[in-house]
Amino acid sequence: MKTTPPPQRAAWSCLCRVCLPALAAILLAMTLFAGQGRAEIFVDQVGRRVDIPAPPQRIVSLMPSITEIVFALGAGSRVKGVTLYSNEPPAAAELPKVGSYVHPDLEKIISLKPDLCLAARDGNPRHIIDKITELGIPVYAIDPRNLAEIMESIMLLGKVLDNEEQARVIVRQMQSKITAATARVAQAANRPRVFFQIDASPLVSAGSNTFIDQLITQAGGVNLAAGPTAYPRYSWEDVLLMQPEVVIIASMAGGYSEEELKAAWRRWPEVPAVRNNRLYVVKADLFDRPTPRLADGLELLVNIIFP
Amino acid sequence: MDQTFTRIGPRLTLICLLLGLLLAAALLLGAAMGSSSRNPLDVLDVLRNLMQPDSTQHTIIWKIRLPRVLLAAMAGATLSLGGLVFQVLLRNPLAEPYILGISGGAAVGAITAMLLGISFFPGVTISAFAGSMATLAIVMLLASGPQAGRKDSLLLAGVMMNAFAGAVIMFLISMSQSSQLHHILFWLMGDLSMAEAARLPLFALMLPCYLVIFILARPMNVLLTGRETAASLGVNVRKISLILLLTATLMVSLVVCLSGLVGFVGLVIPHILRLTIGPDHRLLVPASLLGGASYLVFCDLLARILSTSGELPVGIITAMIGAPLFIFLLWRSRP
Amino acid sequence: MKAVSADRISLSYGGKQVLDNLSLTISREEFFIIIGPNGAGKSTLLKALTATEKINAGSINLFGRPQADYSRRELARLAALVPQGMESNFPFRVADTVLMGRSPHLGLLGMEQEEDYRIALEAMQATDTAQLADRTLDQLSGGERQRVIIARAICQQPAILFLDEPTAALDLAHQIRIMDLLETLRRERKIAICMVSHDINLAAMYADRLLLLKNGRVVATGNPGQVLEEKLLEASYGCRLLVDENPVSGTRLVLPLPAKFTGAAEMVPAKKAL
Repeated sequence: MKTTPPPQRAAWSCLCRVCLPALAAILLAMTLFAGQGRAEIFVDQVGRRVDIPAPPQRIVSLMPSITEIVFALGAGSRVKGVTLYSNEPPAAAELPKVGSYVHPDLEKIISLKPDLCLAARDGNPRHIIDKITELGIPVYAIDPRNLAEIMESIMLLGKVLDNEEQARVIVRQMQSKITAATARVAQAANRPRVFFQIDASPLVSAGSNTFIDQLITQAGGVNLAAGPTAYPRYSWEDVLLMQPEVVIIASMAGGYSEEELKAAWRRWPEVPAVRNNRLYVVKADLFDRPTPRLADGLELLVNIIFP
Repeated sequence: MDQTFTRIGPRLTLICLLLGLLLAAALLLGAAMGSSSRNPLDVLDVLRNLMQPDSTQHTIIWKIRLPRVLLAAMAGATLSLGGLVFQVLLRNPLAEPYILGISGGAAVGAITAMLLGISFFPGVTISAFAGSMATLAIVMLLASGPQAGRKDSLLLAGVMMNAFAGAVIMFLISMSQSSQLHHILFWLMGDLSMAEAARLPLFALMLPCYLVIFILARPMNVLLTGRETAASLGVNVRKISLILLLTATLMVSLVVCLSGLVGFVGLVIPHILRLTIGPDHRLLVPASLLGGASYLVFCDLLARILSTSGELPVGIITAMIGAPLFIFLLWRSRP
Repeated sequence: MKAVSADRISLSYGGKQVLDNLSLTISREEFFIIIGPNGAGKSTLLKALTATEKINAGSINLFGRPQADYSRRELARLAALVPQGMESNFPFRVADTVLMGRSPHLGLLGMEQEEDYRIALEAMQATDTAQLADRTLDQLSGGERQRVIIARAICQQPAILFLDEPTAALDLAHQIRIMDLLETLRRERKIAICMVSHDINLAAMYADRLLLLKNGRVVATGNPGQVLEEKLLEASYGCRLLVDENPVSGTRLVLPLPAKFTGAAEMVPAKKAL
């Protein structure tokens, strides 16, 4: 004979068999979504806490290198203002200018009604950043000092701009180039002496604590200009004593043409690099901007040093 | 009423009224226009929106442009009056406020602080002020030796200090990294972009200086007749000269600390005013204040809107207007 | 009471003794002229008397009171100075220049009153400069400028007028004009005139009393007849002189005698005794 269960037992049973599992499922789903939810307070690469409540739609970039990264992350359409010399990618050159990175135009920035400003600690003046923050606009600052930190900054910006996937793609590409470069360097027998010229009349090179120095080292060379001064000057006398085996010249150094720059070196056949015709002219901004293209710069350097 | 003498009261009122209006117009234009709006007709918009917090324009006008325009006005007034005072002290219409070495000393102080990475306010400001005061002390020490030719020895000492400071500045610049250069050069050419509403009360220190100089306006007229004559006319030449020197140096140094070396205001404005309203300092003192203020506000406006690739240092504008104007005036005043 | 009374004053600067134990008196309404060779200290004496330079020793009394007791402004209302030379790069109008003479009577903030304008206008009329009111100083001739400065000095309403070589750069007509003006002012306004002059003959024609100065010391003081004596003058000026009588004015006439004439000195008629 079938008896009808009493009401409490029915309720309890309903709870156990339907509600609880459903609740559990809902809770599980919530935790899953929470893992992919958006944080509101970000800590930037300088350690500042920046409050960015919603994915930024009107971005002002205060550094050409940052502009490059933002465009590379696919957020180019959300950039409303850039600094002078933001020439990469070409689309950025069309955007309204907010002064230079060393002298940003506060009024222009405000008038663009940004909901996020992106700045670099090394380059933008502190008081302008403070002023922008005071006026209620969040400023997110990056401070990449080597390849690893550049990749970190790309990831951080990816999170802030809600383009994490693209960030990962970029970083993976950079990483593979770096790995390939490191592998080639490991096979090399010796490290050639490299002189990297960034300016002419007088000759200026890049010392320690610059991207160029790091790249040269990572590419298997010895940076002859290594030392405490960031951009030391040399006379031709110094250069002759240093005897560089490879000379790399940033294009348009001092405003001279490629031919003029090489001709200046060819006057000194005593220099091994000149004797063996190892003079190379390269695009400057592959080497001095903390952007994904720095990895390309590394690649280029390795090809030059170990042809 | 006899017409041989022009009564000063009505003239003073008229000049203050006219120049006051000019200043008001300059301030209005300066607050209404900027790098984000270069159209003079926007003034009407500004007036309409003045109290309405359309937040962006409101912020721009009140928090960015207004402090800056007020700084320009105060700086222009002070530099112009300072130039006038130095022209009396040195009895030379070609004197200007930096002639006794204030600029050199302040620059050395400021640049040193900048190279050390100290923040602009109060670090660089105090350093610049200390530099200019130290220079004044040295100049006065150098000039206090020989009794004769007191006026010339002051001038000579000032020129020497400026030259020496110039060499030190060159040295400091050669040692600087390129990232600091921009800031240094802007300061050397006059930079009003560091204007902060919070710092404006410093200018409350200026007002007593203006007052002191206005009170001494009539004795300034007499000073110009020469030391002996002035003394025989009852003026305490030494005391009044000292008060004028210290007051002018103090106020000019304060301005230089906050706005860098803005040139040509102290040289050109008193000169133009003297050519138009005559050499009576009871008129020239208020006129220099109002005229100088208007001039610098206007020049600063041009500095902000002329170049699309970012603002120019205001000193460039004052030089580009002031120098040709000055040459023209010299040309016209040939006998 | 004397207008000016200096008692054994000395002044030195740069290690050089410029005035040496010098005494003099000037009476009210007296026309007093100081003469002497270059470097005698004439200008310095004037500066000492007007308190423009400080004396190292001795005392100066003005109208019975020590000079040091007067404040600068009181002094300016008592004595006016017309200095040598004119330094100004600033284009003041004549009217404004003359008006400056009212400074000692105005306060620090003082604006001129109608009374001041009246006095200034009157001074310009007295010196015949009213018609120059609108010109600037650099547009005037030497004589006109001198009269303007004298007008300014008169505005101070002084009791003594000090002048440093007021006729030095002027032509003959203007020299007389200025001296006549001073004489008129002295008489009408009852001022003492104390003047430094290079021109002995002019001094002889106008002065009540002369002071002959050499090396900062008084050589002689008294009326022109007493002071302008050949031996005294020759010793002071260091050259041969002819001292005679001006046939028109009756005053002394002093002429320098170049060496080429001194051989003929005996042929000159004997001086008339005075």
